[in-house]
Amino acid sequence: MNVSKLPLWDFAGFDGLALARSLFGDSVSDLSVFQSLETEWNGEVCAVLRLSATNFRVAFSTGMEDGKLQMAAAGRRVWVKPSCLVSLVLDNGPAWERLIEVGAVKPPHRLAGLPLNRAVPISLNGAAGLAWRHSVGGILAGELQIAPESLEEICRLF
Amino acid sequence: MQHYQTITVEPHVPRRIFLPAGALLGVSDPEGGQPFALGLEEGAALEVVSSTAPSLRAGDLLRRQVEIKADFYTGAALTLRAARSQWVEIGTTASAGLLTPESALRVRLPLALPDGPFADLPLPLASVLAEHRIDGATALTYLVKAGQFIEIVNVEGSQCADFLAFAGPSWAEELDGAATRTRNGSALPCAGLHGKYFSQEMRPLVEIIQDTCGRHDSFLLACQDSYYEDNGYPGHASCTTNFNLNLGRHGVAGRKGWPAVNFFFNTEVGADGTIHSGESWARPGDYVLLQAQTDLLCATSSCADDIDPVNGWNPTPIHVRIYEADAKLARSSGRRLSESHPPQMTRDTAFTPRVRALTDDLVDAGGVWLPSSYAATGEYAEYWALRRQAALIDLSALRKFEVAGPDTTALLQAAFSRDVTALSVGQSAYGCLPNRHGGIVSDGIVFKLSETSYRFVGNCETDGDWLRRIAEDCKLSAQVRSSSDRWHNLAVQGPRSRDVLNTRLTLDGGELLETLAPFRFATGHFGAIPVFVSRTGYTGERGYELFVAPENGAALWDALMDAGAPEGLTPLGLAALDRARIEAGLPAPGREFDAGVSPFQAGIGWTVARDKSEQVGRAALERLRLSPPRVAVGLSLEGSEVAPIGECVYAPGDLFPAGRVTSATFSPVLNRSIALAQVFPEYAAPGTALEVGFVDGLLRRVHAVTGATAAYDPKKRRVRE
Repeated sequence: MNVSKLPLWDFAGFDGLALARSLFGDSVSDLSVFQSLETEWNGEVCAVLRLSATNFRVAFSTGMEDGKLQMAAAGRRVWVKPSCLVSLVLDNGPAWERLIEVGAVKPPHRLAGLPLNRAVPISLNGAAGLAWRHSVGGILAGELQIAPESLEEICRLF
Repeated sequence: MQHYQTITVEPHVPRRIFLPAGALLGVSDPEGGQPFALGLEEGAALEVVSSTAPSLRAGDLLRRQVEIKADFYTGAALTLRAARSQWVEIGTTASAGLLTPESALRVRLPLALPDGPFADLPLPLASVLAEHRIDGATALTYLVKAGQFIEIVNVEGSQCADFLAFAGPSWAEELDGAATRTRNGSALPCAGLHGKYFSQEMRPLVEIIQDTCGRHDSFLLACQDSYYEDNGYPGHASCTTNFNLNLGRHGVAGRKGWPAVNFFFNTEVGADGTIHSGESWARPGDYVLLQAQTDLLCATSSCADDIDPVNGWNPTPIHVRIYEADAKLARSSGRRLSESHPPQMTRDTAFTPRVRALTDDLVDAGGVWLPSSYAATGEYAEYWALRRQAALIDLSALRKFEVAGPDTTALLQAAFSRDVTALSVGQSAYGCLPNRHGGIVSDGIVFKLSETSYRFVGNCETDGDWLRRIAEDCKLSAQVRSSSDRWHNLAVQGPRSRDVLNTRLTLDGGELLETLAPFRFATGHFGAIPVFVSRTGYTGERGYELFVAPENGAALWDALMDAGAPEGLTPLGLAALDRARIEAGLPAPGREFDAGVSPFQAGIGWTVARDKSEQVGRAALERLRLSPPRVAVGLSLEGSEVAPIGECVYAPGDLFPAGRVTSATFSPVLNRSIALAQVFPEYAAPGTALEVGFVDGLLRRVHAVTGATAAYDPKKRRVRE
């Protein structure tokens, strides 16, 4: 398990879907909530996760210069900001299996058998997180996004 | 006083009933023509009190095994009296054939058990671990272990039962109504995904598993002394005081008012925020079944209120039964379709076991469990599969009726809005069942099976009652029998639906699927499975519906999923279906129409045949055709915000509404927000600029333009391809 230093970016608002389509193409509107796709923007490989009809999270594989996304969103009724969450990269083998073992999800979400490019809200020993299966740096992996204050607690579980 | 309940005796499922001496047993045959048998014990007898069957007369004595022949007509009734305490078995007999399938009987029987101290209750749901009688205007406490079930029975009806639960050390963790409403996103939990009651620690304490009443309260305190004092009854017993007396023994401190779950308490929050209360909806024997999620101290009252209608001015007993955790008790809610129908509990369809393997997100839709969306795909992926490839949809909530007899065509000419004389065998037509004032009882499809037999597929179980009533009123010789339990149906919809079916479908008579035109049907086999195939759908895409006997349902699902995999066949839930049908401008009951909305207002005026003198509601329909009070339109909104359902539509700048939004969604395929609305005729012309009110209707208005109700493929080319 690695703690990723790469920031996550969130945007949300009335024009969230319109911004997502303008940045990543029409295929983002095919996504259901908690579904993602791999794409690139501005020359950066990234994964785009839909959080609601209008809200999205973007994980860039090599970082993103501060201000670029905000500029792209100028004039739209959205906010854009770096997420404060910490991202833990879990290998697709033992670490992900351990996550399934210790994590609890609420119906109708299912963690076991979670397909690629899907995410679920998860509870780990009382700490909340978002588990996400997608490709990180071209390698199939799991990602666990948690609040910074939960990092120590979560790390003890793995 | 003897209390009675009404139950349904389904075909092939005989019921054993206990009758105390002198009690009455009522049997009615709502669909007519259904023979049945009564099995009596040696030496026992039943006296005929009244009968509409010519073969039985008042005063006749029935002994041992008696077969009641099918000389009953629709709604026929038989009342018997038990000469002594006895067990009686009742069950349907004989299969009446495909077009006249066996139908259920309704049996009115006493709430009575053969032994034990409580002879006024329906049969227990499982082996009883413990039970408690709570006399009127009292309360008691009891302990349950995690996993055990708690059944709270309304013994005489019209009685509220307030409920508290405590968990944790010193019972310090209690139910919290605000936490429960917030977590569930609804005013009251109901059986299913959002069925849990939470504590202030956000921990589930109980889950509602079954409910036959459907109206409870989670907003108000259990009745308190101050309520009675304010109304001039100082010193009156209250549920709060009764709870305090009992809870004190467990070390729980008293309160001035307990925030309880008030089962069977009829309250409703009005649009202006006022909380209204009235007489309980509960009938004798109604119950709620809860499952403890942790070890609990519970308290239940029989509400002490006798100064207003909530308990009918007469507090009566409540009964509590506890069942073991291993009891097999499925989640379901009871729906009462009419006073003569017993509560109908939510059922699985033939496909539900396959659906449950793919999702936990099921909702009660028309009395059956249907998926809202699937875990591995989600609403949008399902939607796009429908629009681009093929989707598989469980539509078994539709109710089916076989209509047969010499006057069948005349009955449907009177009841159905289309001209069925224009139909040929093998053809179907979409239309509606208008009522006398021109409103819509239901919409659906009539299939012409032969010159004298039809199938009506509609929305509600009571559609059959309506058809039978028209037959009776018009003195027509036609039988209407429910076949919903014999035909479960899957829709295969989408541009590749034909490719999916062509892999294994053979139609009788060598017909090809390519030649099966819209609103045509045929019989055949998918692989080895017999199916009834109809070229119909509810999605705005080319599509088919496959009707299958329930015993073949799982096999058909598996075969379709297997055959459809190369074509991208994807199971689709109700959330994506609703999006698709709004795009296609297809009306939904409760949204676009009800018994007060005419076909012309609902946007299906084209289904009302002209010059049909026998049509029920003809005069009203002709008047409404000329001047409908409102007209259905499609709205295309500026931006992507989805209009709130029920929100007002305005002419630009007006403060008064021009109409109302009935359905709305974001259309992925059109990439814009769309809505169905019903507006005054003055604003219905295509291209009329309107505004949809958001927030309070004033703070933000979104521009919209009227157009066809079908925003997607308005000429229905895709359906006809």
